[in-house]
Amino acid sequence: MKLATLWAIARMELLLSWRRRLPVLGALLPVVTVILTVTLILPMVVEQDTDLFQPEVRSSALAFGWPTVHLLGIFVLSALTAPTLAADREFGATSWLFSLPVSGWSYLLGKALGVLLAVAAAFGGGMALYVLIFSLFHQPNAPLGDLHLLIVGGLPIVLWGALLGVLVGFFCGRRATAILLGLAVGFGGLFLRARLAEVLLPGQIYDSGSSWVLANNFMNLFTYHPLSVHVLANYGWHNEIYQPLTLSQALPLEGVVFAALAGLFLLVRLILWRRENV
Amino acid sequence: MRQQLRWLWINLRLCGLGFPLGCAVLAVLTIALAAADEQSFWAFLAPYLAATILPLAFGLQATVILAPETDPALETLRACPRPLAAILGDRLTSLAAVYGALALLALAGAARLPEGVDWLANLAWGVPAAVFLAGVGQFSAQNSRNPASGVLLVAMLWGGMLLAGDLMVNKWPWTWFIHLYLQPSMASPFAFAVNRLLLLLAGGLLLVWGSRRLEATERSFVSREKAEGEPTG
Repeated sequence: MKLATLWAIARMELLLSWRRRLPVLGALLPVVTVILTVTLILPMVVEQDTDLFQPEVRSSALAFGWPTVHLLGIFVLSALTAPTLAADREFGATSWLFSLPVSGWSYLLGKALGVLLAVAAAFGGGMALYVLIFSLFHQPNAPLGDLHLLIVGGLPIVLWGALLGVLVGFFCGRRATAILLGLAVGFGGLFLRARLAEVLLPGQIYDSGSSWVLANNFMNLFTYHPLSVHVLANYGWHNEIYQPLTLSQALPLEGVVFAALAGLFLLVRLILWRRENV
Repeated sequence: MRQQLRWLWINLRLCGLGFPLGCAVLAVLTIALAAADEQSFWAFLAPYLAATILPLAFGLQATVILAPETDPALETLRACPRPLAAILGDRLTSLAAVYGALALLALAGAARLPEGVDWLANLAWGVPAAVFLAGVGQFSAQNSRNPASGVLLVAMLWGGMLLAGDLMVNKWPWTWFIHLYLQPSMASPFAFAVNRLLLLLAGGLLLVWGSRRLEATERSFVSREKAEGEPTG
C-alpha cells in the first residue's frame, strides 16, 4: 500500500464529497436538527412560554432533541454516503483503477478516509454553529456540556453511519439502489445497536433525569446510544434510584459495533483482492 | 394487453424489486414478533404497517426512479417513442401495484392478530401519505437531479410528522392541514377529510410538477439532436 496513492484517492474523494454536498449536508443535519428542536419542537411540548436561551432550558432541550441526531446520524447519513463506491462501479472507475497498480487497501482506505474527513469537518462546522448561536445569547459562557455530548455522543455515530453507507454501497452496481440499501441497512444497524444494548446493558439506566428512565427499554435505546446515555447521565441531574451508565459500560458496546464495521471493511477488502493488479 | 403487462413488468424490474422484497420480509417479521409478544413494540406496529412503513418505502423508492443523475439510460429511453413523463407514470403505477398488494397482504396477516386491523384507518392514513411522500421525493429528485436529496427530505418529513406531528397541531392548531398523520380525534370529520384530500392533491400536483421537469430534460435532448441535424424520433 502506497501512502501517496491513498492520500491522492482520499483527497479526491474529499473534494468530490464537498462537490456533492450531500454527505456534508447529512453531517450538518443532525446538529441543525438539534437547533431546530430547541427553537421549534421544544415550544410544542413546553406549555408555558420559556426563554429557550436560558442554560437549564437549553440543556434539557439538547437532551430532548438528541434522538434526532442519533437517528439521522445513522440511517440518513448511511443513505447519503452509500453512492460513494457504487458510483465507481456504475461508471466503471473501479475496473479502470484496478487496471493500474493501485492496491485494494489504498482504494478502500482512501475512499473511506475522504468521506470521513468531509463528514467530520461538516459535523465540526455544525458544532461550531451550535456553540456560536448559544454563546451569542447565553451568558456567561459557551455550553461545554453540549460540546461534550456532541463530541463523545455524536461524532462516533456520525462516523459509524457514514462508513456503514460507504461499505454497503460497494455491493450495489447502481447509485439509486445504493441509496435505498444504505437507508435500509442504516435502519437495520440502528435496530441491531438497540437490541445489543438492550441485551448487554446491566440493570436499569437513565439518561437525563428521573422522568426519562431508560430502564433498558428497546424504543429508548433505539433513539439513544450508550455513549450519549453516558454523557447525558452526567449532564447535571442525578437520580438516587437508577444508576447512571458508566463509560466502562458504554465503551465495550461501542467497541462491538465498530468491530462489526471493521469486519464489513475486511469483507469488502477481501472481495477487492481478486480485482487488484499489484 | 400482454405487451402492456410486459412493459409494466420491465419497468418494475428497472425500479428494483429488492426494496419491496425487503419490506415484505420486514412485514412478515413484524407480524411474527407481534404474535409472539402482544405487549411488544411490534404488536403496536403490526396493525398499522400499511399506514406507516409501506408509505415511507413507496415514497423512498418513488424518489429514486428516473432521477436524471442516477438513471443511466435516459438517452436510451429517449429513443423510445413513449415520452419520459409517461415512462415515469408507468414506473409509479407498477410500484403502486406492488406496494398496494404488499399492504393488503400485510394487513391480512395482521388481521389474524388478537388486536385486529382497522382497514379504514390504514387506507385513510396510508394512501395520502404515500402519494404525498412520493410527490415530495420525486419533485425534489427532478429539481436537484439527484435522488439523495429527495430521500433525505422524505425520510425527515415522514419521521418528523410521525414523531412530532401531533405536538405541532397541539401547539399551532392551524397546521392541521399539513399533518401527514392527523388523528381523527384532533379534528372534525370534515377537517380530517379535507386534510387527507389536500395531501392527495398536493402529492399528485408535485408528481405532475416533477414529471414536467423530466419533460424539460427530454426537451434538452431534443434540441441537441435538432442542432446536430439528427432525427428527433
